[in-house]
Amino acid sequence: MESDIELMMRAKSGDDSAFTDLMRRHYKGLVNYIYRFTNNRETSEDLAQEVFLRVYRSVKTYTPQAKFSTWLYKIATNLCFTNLKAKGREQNFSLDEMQENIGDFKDPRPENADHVVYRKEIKETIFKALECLPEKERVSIILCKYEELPYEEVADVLGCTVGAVKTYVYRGRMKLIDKLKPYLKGEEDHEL
Amino acid sequence: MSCKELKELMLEYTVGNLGQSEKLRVESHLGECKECYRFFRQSNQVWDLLDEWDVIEPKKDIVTNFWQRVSEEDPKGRGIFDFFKNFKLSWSRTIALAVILIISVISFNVFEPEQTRVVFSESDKADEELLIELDKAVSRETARGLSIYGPWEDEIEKNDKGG
Repeated sequence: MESDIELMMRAKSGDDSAFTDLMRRHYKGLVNYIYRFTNNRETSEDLAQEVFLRVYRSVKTYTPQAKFSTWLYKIATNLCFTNLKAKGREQNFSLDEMQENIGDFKDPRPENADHVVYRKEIKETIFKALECLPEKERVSIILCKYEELPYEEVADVLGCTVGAVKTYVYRGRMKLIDKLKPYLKGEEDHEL
Repeated sequence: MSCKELKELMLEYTVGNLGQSEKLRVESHLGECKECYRFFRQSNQVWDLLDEWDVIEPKKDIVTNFWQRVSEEDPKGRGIFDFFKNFKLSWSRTIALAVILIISVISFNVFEPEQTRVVFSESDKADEELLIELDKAVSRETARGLSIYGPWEDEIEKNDKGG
């Protein structure tokens, strides 16, 4: 199988079929990455197309300095935040509100509960918890957790050091504990 | 190991990045400190909880839509009229156009062809008068003899009548 860079070099020389192959390879991952920021399928698909359009426009000036996927994630991240800022927050959802909505129930997954309702609720809750995080913590967690990128690549996307990425992930994780506490299981025996 | 140190190493421990000795130190501390153990458990739980948000399967036919959009926005297809349609006059462009206009005017005057600047001289005036006299004097027979034809036909008619 041809590498991303080989396909990009072919696309650079005018072979559009190579660019189509690249799109097919990365489209699903990219839509899902953007989806973690928008929580909207249609917007995510549109933005993913916009990312590819930007890549296509700059294909003639492409030099294989960084990994292709890193470049893609970088463009997608910038586009997501530009889009989110332009759009403004449709809902101001604070931690307090979220916890009020969640209520006091300890186990949100009772055996007889409607599974579909639960999936929808947990999806919304995770999205809103991630949305409350500072940008870099949010990007670091999404890239590490959902895209399974190594710290080095996340550092390239964010333009920071690997140590900084680890700190972002750590801090973000701590904040998520606080935000998602009602969904965490209760105390268990102190055994390792 | 202090609790602060454990918190720094916890992420590395979770992803299996620690060496054997550090790993044992972390485990030892977690076995002793209830607070750190609770924190460690919650950290792992929250990480696992994120998996509850499933991936989606994109619906749209990306390839067709993408190439359609590219063809609509293709700059190769733009003509000269699009250039003028999109042309916006800014201060810099205005100055550039004014400079081009001034240079054009100066260049035209400097490189103007020599003949266009010739004035009507005294000798030209004399030649003109001579030709007018000739027109008045020439008769139809003379004109025919010399094979002269032209717009002065009326003049010859007048000459013939007047003598």
